[in-house]
Amino acid sequence: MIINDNDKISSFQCFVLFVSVMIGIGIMFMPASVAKTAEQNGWVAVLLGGMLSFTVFLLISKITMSNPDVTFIELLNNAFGKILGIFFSLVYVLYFIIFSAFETRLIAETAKEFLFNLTPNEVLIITFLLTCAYISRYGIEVIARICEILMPGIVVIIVILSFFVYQRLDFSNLLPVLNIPYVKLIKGIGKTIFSFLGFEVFLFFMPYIRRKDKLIKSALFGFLVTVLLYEVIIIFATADFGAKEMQTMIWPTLNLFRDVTVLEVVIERPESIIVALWMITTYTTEIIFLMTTGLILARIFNTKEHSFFVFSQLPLIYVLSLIPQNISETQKFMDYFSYYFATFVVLFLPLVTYTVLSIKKKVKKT
Amino acid sequence: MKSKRRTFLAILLVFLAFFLSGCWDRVEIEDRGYILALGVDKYDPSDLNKYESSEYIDLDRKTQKFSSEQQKPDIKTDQKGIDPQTKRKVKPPLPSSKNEYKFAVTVLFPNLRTIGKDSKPDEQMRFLFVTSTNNVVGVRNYLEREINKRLYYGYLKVVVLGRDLVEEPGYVREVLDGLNREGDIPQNTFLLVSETTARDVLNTMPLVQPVTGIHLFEISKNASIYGRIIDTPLSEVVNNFINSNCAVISRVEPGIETLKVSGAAVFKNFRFVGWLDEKQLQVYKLLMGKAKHTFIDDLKYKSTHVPFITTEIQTKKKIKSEKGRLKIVYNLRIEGEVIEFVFKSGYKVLDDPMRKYIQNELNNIIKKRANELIYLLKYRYNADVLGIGDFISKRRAKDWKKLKKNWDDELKKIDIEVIPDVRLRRSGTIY
Repeated sequence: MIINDNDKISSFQCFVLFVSVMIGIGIMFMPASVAKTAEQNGWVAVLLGGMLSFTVFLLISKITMSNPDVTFIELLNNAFGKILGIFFSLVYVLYFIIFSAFETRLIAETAKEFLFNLTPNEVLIITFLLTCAYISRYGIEVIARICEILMPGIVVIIVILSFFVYQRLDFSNLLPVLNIPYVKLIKGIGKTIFSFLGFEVFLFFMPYIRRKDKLIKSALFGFLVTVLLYEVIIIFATADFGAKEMQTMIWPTLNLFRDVTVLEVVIERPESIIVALWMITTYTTEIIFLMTTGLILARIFNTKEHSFFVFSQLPLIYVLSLIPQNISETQKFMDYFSYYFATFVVLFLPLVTYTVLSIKKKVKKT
Repeated sequence: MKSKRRTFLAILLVFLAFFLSGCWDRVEIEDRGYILALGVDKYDPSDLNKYESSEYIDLDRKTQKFSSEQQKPDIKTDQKGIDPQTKRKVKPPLPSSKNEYKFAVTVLFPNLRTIGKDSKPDEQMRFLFVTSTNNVVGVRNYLEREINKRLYYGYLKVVVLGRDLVEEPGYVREVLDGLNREGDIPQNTFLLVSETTARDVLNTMPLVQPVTGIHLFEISKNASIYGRIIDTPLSEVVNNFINSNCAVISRVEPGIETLKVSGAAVFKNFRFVGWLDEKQLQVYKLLMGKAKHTFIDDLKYKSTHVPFITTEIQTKKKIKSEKGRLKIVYNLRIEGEVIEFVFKSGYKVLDDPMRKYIQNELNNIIKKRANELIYLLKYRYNADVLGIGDFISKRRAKDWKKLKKNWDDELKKIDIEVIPDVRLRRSGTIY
């Protein structure tokens, strides 16, 4: 597959892609699930979770940099042979499809709770998926440009709204610092992982990046922005509600921004704005996932275009997204997903591939 | 190939247009009834009889407002307690043979048409409905049988709890859960406890602002500025109940044509345990660091009262351990001005013997009042509404682990010292 030059992304676009793909629906309830284990030290867990994810990303980039002109699919093929390689590539396809299904279900749940009480879930899901698929048919550069337009606006609006939240915060709710057993803190880190996942799409973007030497730098900034935004949200939520109250909430982030009143009349009850903003962040995450799946399938079947595969996965995502009974079951599945499946796909499989590849090279040399 | 693509796109567009044709659940603004106030009472059939007595109906008629040209004093209320002039329903539904209801919920929402240009002068400004139910927030489903509006909680301003209701911890918990769970209800809705019933409060039409919900909301909002009222938004009350099972909710006194917010109710384990009066509340706000301004007028010099207005208040809490016992020290730094004295009295308020005297006396007054309040809260109510347990758990997590098992008794053992430091800065434009 030939990659033409206008389908390559600059290092700034890389940074934007990092932020857009990581900030998804996870942050809507992440403060609550972290507070259940790490209590008022959630912000430490988020910091450590971000550092952990960045370390994993460094490993991934190290592995893909070993042959930067091909995607991870070719590396898998080289390492395990054609049949096993395709099998593992399909595992990645499954991974992204399940991930998309989670995002879809959760955005539908949020929209139903706060915006469209009477609209059926199915309609919300279908409209969301079709809108995402429409843009995902285009190449990586178009998507990066879309994210370039959408991402800064979202971050800026969230930061502005945070100023209006600030006046009612009580930072003594963050005390005492680190008085919990370390096991609980580590469990808390585990809860943050889902919110950080998404950076693994760069396993498949390597050939599209113009300046490969600057990838680590843009990744660093991408992680920094994400971690900072998450930190602002989790510290504000803890300071506003306190760890005990936050544990009882389903959507702490939404509750945090919901009762912002700006000058009595200018903005009252901005929850529809917030839900819409989060729909956009989830939208950017989802389009990247849909496109990645399309790219992987295009590589497997060796076709020029990936646009057909984008639509072919939608029915599967739709069906999967309707499986969980309710939001708490969704969160339970998400935990299993991020603990086992994500660890296998993001950390374990690349590492094994790298080991096999390096052994094979050694075999060839001798 | 190209034509296929176009057909596909056309189908996609039609499909999207089909779904994107607008929200399914949009409601026009005229069709909504914005609930501004919610009153919750314990359902008590014997109490309801009161609302059928002619005495009450007379009283109720006196409180009605009419514009001068519309004044018709000889209105007769019909037997069902519905006033034919205003169609106000003041009587809750009659008790049935099985009185299974838990709550009597009063809902108040304004008439949006009176705001518009083509409003008629005789139109009533607000609607009041009373229903007996077993669930508080779900009451709108029952009310929508008789009201042609879609009731909406999004702009709820105040929730008034009746005096009878707050005696029952189970009922208070049910109400709180409903308010906290419903996504539409803003978390900055103010909670109030009525001195009598919540229905009485909402039935009153205050003179200046006849829509009771807005009236109470605006008074509570001013609370952060003036010293005699406390604002108790839902989020804070819920947070206090979660953290310490205790809370303070401000009190409202219904009158004939006025509603007064003053004092507060103290809750322990979701049960009402007693009132705080205005003066106790002032000190409570000082200790909680909630007071921005306060007004102390107990100071007397010879036969003259010397009122003192504060301009700046800083509250600092410290925790010490003395002989194995924990001691909480409140450092209050209060700056302010004397706004009245005697004309041509010869005393210079800002100069030294007088200034020292005023400062010392004020310190004593605040200290005395604080000690009375602390005694009341510690021994009589035994309610940790000052958030001492919460404070210890934050600063001394290890001590808290031992204390929290038996906190009700341990609270009595904890020393609380208040050290006020009043500074007289100004005295108006003359000495």
